[in-house]
Amino acid sequence: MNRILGNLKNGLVTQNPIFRLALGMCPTLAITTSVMNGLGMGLATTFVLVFSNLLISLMRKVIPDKIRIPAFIVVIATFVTIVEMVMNKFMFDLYEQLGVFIALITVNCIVFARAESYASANPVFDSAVDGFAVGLGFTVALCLMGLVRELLAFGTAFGFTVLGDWFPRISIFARPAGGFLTLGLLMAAFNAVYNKVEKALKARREAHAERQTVEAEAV
Amino acid sequence: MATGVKRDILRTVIVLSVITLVAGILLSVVFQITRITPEEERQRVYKKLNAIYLAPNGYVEVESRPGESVEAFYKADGEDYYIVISNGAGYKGFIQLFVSFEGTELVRITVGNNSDTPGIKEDVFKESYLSQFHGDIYEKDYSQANFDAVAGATYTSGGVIAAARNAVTFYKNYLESKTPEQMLLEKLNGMHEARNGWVKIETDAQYVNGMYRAVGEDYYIVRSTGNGYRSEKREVLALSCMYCFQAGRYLVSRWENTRKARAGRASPGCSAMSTLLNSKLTLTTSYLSIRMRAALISILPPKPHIRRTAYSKRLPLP
Repeated sequence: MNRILGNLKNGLVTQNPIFRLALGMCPTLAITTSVMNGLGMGLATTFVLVFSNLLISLMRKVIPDKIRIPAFIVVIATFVTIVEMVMNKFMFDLYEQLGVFIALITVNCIVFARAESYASANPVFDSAVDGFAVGLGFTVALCLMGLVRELLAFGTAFGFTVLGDWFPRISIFARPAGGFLTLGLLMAAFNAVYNKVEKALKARREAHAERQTVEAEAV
Repeated sequence: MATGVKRDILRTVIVLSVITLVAGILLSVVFQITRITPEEERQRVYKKLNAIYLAPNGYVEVESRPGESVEAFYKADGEDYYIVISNGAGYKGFIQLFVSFEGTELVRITVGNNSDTPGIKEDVFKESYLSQFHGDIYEKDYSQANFDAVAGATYTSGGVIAAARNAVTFYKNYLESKTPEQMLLEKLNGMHEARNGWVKIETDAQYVNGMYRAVGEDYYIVRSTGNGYRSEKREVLALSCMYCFQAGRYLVSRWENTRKARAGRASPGCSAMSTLLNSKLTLTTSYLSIRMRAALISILPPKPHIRRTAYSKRLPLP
């Protein structure tokens, strides 16, 4: 149980692919003009991450080290193609919106990094959980970006008007430049909070250890 | 070669081949499940068209060969409503427009696929910009210099203007390739499929545009005209309606320019003034239909089950 929680924390916070590792920037900057796009992209990537991690972990002892890259690529590309076909059939509107970026999940470095650094060295269940956690972290980050950009650029969230006409529409946030701005600001905020929490936890741990040594000395 | 090396090579080849084989089989199965049938493809287009204008009888693809800049051409079945899907070069690739025509009038433009820059293109795709193309295609001058571009989005504006002009040119060509007789025949057949064609009956009845009889059948269509009022544009317009009679009985009627009248009635800013005028429209139309029936009855050979007096009691006939 602790392992699962650790994996989840790892994917969502400590090693959040966007805010901590700065991986997968291409779809992050390009498609997060709305929350729905971010959500769709994030979920598609999560699906690919979970299944590619699962399969690669399953075959980690069979695949010779020298050909692991082509093997990973084939596995990942297969799942991406499945996602693409299913989306085209059942979620055509989203499919049209995301366009070429679905196919580009194949070469998304998050997927590849998890396969290479985690799934190829860990048991099956852990790998699947790791894929899910990292995917979730990616989805949350994309949705946050999408929400900020959609609000500032169009005054809407999930397509519903939230901010009235009194709010000036800042159209730069719908453009790539605005994507960079949003990403930088969110990343700074995320890391500021992260560092503060981490510092507080560290201080508490140190205080606890100190108290224990004092108590031990007294005894 | 040492056996170790041989085994290594063999293992590599087998592992990669098996992975690719499994992937191939899996993908072909998924592909079979999620295959898009031509019917679904057509449904997707119709869904888009119906989002523009909900045609009660659906759409039909008009048989004509669209050109380079025009992708497809659809007609609302049984109605005088057409949608041309045209393209114009924007900032990044083509901008697709769904241009709707009613008779000789361009009534609506909806933007389709495009990949111009988000945050800039929205100013061009606004209704307030696109409405500058609305109007009668024979009265309005559709030359390029006649349309405004949005500052900062000149390429996108250029693409939209080009696509709209392409659509108008195409539609004009389509209209001119048909004679008025052909268009009338299409309208009549839209109401009732006459196997042996139609024949015109001469009449001098008031408000009557023409009377037609399906050859060899007891089926008549009367075209009548009158005035209606469109509140949104505050203008009086000529309305035209087709009344169908079978075996001496009134069957069904259909406006030849429905949406205009309906738009008038369903206008959101329905002030007291326009309510008054709209009720007048309803009055005019019902009055018309009563006149029409009476006019028809006076022309047709009398049948025992037609009650002549029923109408004349309500309104004095001319």
